[in-house]
Amino acid sequence: MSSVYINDLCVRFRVYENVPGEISPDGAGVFTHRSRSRRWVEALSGISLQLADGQRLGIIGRNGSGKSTLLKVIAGLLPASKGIVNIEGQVSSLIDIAHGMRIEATGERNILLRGMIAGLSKREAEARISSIAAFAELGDYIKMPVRTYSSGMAMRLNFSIATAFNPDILIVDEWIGAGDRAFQTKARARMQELVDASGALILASHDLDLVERLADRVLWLDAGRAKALGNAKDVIASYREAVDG
Amino acid sequence: MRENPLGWFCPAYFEFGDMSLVSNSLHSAQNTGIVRRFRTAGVDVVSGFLRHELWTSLAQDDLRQRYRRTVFGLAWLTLSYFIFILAKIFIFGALNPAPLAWFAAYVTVGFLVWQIINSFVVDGATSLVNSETWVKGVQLPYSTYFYESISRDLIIFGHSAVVAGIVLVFTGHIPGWAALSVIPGLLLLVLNGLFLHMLLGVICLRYRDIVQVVQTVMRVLFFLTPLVWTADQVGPIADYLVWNPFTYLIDIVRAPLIDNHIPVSSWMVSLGLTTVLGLASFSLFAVFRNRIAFWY
Repeated sequence: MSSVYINDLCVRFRVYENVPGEISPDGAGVFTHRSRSRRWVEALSGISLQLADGQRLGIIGRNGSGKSTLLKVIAGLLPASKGIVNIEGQVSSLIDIAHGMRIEATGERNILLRGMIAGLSKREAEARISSIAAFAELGDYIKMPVRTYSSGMAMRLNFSIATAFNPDILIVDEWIGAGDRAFQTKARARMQELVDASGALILASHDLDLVERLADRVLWLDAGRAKALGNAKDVIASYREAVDG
Repeated sequence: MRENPLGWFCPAYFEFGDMSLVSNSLHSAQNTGIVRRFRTAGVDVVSGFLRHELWTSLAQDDLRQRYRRTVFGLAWLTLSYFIFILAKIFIFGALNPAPLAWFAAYVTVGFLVWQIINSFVVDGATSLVNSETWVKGVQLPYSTYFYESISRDLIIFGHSAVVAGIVLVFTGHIPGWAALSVIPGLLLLVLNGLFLHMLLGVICLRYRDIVQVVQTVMRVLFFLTPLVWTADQVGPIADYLVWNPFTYLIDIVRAPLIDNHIPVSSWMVSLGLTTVLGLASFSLFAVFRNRIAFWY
């Protein structure tokens, strides 16, 4: 059982850095002022969307348009500045490889910790170690500290953990760098399995072909606002048109 | 705004194994009423505590990492405390008129308690700052990071306490009945530890200069607290000791162990301080909880 309901979501960041300037890149969140001395960046404004069981949402848009911020809000890592966010179901997120990993601890230990973070007891998490390690195909590296891993290996471990505890909602940000070709095929199959098990998938990516293949609905973000939300093919087509001219 | 289906404040909700429901309700819209803020902060503190398997494991990892590839590992904690305390006893014992056996117990126990309070303060100040990758990467109640830091401090405390136990026996301070009051005394210290984490963790995350202020103040306070000297040694300065809150917190653990008596007035002051600190820190945590993620 999973559902995502977002209504009129706003997220703004106070700018603490004392640097002058008002210009933000094209398509990225814009500076706002609420008083003379305080600057804010309007990362997201007026976002509304709904997602039910088994739906797959793709998020596209230029750098800084708010894709990751939106994913973080859905993952519960950032609070909304305004609006309603209602998430039902167990969320698992693959937003940043470095976050949520102890690079000094072994792969096995990380599986254990993340299992407990996902809400399992220590014993339950221990029971899952071998199957997750097998999926990540790290061999005896699983007993080595994560800092000795290549970035592809770390990503493989992270992906295996994130998808292992049967999340109802899987959130993925630019995951396409996950491991080598062989692992990518496997990863795609695992994602498909999760979606088929009537979970929801939310994916932010610049790879439009990938988004088109995996998502049935697409949200196009521009400067923190929803420029379009709808059928994947249509939105991607109009995005392509706007970007390529 | 999400409604908690089980009503107001219900820790049992967390036993359903679906932590994300809870965590998400902990991260909802910012501009909400004060009652709801206090309620979510309460849920945060309780649900964080219920994850004891997680934060004890994290604390163990922290320490293992610190002593990685050493031969003695965590035994270094005991060893270095022993050597440190030995030096203190001989130098300050020579300056003190009291019998050396009593003074040795006084310094060892006093410094043990000082060490745990000091680490609650200093680690409390950096607990949220240092958890950046976790706060940004996984959804957990913020209090999890407080408990992690506290249990790390308690593990260190346990290793030093071995030395204190040996010194007490060695100097003929066999614990009497009054020593039983040490247990509630330590529990009160840990409670203060949680409050210090809530208060300083949040303040220092927003104003990073306070971390430096806290560290400097604690370094000065070490000399202004009766640890390596006794009140009768310093003459009129002793009158100012009433303004040092740490004097009372140390007294409630030290006096029963070395003098076999329960200091009632220190207990009263300590309970009063804990109440004030508790109200202040919980209010601060409740009001600013939703901004924490934006302060990194």
